Amino acid sequence: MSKAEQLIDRIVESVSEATYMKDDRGITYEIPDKEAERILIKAGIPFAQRKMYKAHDFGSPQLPSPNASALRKLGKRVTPKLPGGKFVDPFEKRRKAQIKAEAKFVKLVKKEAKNWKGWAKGEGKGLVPRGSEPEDLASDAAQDAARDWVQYDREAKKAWETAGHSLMIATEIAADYIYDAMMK
Amino acid sequence: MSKASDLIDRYLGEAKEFAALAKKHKGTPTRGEDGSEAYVFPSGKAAENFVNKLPKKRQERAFLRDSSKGRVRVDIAPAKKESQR
Repeated sequence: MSKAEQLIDRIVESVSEATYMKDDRGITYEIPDKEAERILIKAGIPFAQRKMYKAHDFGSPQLPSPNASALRKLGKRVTPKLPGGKFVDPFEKRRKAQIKAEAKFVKLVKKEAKNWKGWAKGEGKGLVPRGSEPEDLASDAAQDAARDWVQYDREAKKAWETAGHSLMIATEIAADYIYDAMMK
Repeated sequence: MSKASDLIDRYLGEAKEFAALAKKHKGTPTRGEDGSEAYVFPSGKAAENFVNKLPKKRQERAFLRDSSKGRVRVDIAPAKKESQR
């Protein structure tokens, strides 16, 4: 049995186990095996057809039975598109990209904070209050630095925007890092 | 949890809370100056009510400004940083 056939059988099995509810809006289906649902999506089967295969056992004469041969009729499209490897959930994929972008941003923030650490110890020595002195000035300085950096560092801005968060949060995070670096 | 993810979670959570609070007071989120967080309220009273509901540290950093058509805009500047030590 080919891998495609195995998958088709799995879909059929999953569909026959589906539970359903009938109400005045129609039938609501619950597919127990989410993997099968994903396979159907990945295989490029349109929503209406997916629904048909889910609906087979509920006394709707107009709907075809989701047996393997019916699926194979679709198979002209389905088979070549069936995933050979692991199914990649689009949401998971997006989340992974987001984490990657966040990590890139943090890496750049750390680099920038390092510059400010050097500045606080050298050129800016005495300008940033330390120890028991009021720390408000350092907080303001860190925020100004962070705001400018987020606005003008294209790479960081792009990374942060890829992550899909607001620039305000980027400024907050950068200010935290810069402040800590200045106060070290 | 690493410092970075901790910070991201904290600020994202805060931003969501503020957005929900602003919505409750009929405010709409908008982009503030320098990318800061801002909300526009239909009246000054609504804006003040919103600011009063913010955490104390954030209240100090919230600025009310007149906007067009009698609306009031609230800009929330980044929180004051405090030493972790």
